[in-house]
Amino acid sequence: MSGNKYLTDLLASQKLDERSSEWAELDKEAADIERIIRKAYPNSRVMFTHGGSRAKGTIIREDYDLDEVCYFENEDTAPGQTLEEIYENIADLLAEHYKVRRKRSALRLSKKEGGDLRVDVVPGRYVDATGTDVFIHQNEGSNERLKTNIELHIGHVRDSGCTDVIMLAKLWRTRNAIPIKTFPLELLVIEALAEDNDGDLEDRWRRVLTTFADDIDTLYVEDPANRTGNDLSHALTDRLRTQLSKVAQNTLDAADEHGWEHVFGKIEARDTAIPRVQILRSAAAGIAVPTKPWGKKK
Amino acid sequence: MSVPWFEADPDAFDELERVLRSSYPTQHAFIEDRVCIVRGSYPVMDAGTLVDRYDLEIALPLDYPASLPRVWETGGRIPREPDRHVFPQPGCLCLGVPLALWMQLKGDFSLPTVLDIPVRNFLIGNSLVERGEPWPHGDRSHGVDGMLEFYGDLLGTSDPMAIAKFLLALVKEKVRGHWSCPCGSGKIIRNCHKEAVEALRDVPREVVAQTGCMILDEIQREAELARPRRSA
Repeated sequence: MSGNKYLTDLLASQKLDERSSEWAELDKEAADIERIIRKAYPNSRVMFTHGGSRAKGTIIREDYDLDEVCYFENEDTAPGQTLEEIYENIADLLAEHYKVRRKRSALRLSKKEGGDLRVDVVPGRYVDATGTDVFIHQNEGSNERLKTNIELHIGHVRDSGCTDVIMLAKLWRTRNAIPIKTFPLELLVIEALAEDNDGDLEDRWRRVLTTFADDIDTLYVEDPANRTGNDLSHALTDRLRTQLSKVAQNTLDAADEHGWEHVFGKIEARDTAIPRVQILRSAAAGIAVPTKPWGKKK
Repeated sequence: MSVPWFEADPDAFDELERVLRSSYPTQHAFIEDRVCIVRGSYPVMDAGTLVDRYDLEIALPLDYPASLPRVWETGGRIPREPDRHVFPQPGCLCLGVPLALWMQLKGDFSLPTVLDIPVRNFLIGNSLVERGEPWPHGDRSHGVDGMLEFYGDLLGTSDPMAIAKFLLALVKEKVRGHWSCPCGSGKIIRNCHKEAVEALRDVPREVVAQTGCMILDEIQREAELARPRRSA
């Protein structure tokens, strides 16, 4: 099988279609969150929409989540006077129903009884009455607020002509545990292919990896919704650039020596009739040198 | 500070990278502050099938591969608590009683051996525990209790003092086959736990001494706790 055919099949195996159970679960959670927030602020006009990879068309089965943005009108003070108050009030409200972890601008939800829901809620307020640009609160960094525009983000990625390579890059990030956030990674891929996006999937993926390996320090990313005020340097530290470069080079070397299947593994069947616990029990039964975990006293 | 293994033998680092590329292509070696760290995801395989996948960070010791690397699960899946066999600080996995691992791995703490035996075993066990199943091959209690369980299995005694005395004698190379077996059977070692004693003789003295001292410290601590306090 050619490298391009393998990578194409790999991507096809990672597609999450709209009838999937994962998608239905995310929809249910989004509807619940919307209901909770609307009930708490009955006089507010709140705009809910899906951000993130689902809207951009870059969602992959192995690493997906839902970015649920929740924007209040510019003059609306019901959820809070300041952006920080809005962020905290929404966090407190959702904490009545979920475990909430405060991220830089988003609120990561998990079930109270444990288990990640794969849902981030991003509260914000429109900059003006036009309902386009938005201010969101930032927990970290020098600016407490960030101007952004989710529709521009979505359009920039969705219409880049690179969504297939972006999906592959996301899978590569996940498989190699590279701690880069999705948006900077998407921007890096688009930047790497900005001058030449011709060729098949393998050609373009190799071009991205080669750029990461050789020129990561010269790649510059900026928020298309806020080219002057949105500093993404926090998301792309020197250490992370070094890691991206090294992993990219190792990936190219491994693919050259052993092929892409060696790098990404056998393409897994989407569903298996055998329950996961049975597969694990079988793996445990086959252990030749059984070691026992140990622990330290508290 | 002693010279790290990759400075003493730069070819060994190249060899590690070659092994990673050929056998673990989603793991990558970095040198940071004179420590070699291996980062990436580890696919838990069984008969060619992917069983699970974990994000790991592995700090190789300065004397690699002579002693056990420290392994962290970095994907946030495993709670950092002793009952899940994770040291709360610094958060690395408690793969096993060190001396037990030394004996099972025959002192080979190279990355492929560590990944494919104790790490793989731990992760399969954890995946089962996540689904409400017990550890498939059992687990050890925390701290000295876990060590005593191991020695109890090996030498047939749960008497901490007998174990500590025996280990310290072993360190001083004073144990003889005609000694009474530490298990308390009344037989001589040669006719009782001979194989276990011989296996222990292969373990480096410092590893045996370390566990013997920990057991003695624990005995002393418990004795102090049990001593009646003098009123002021």
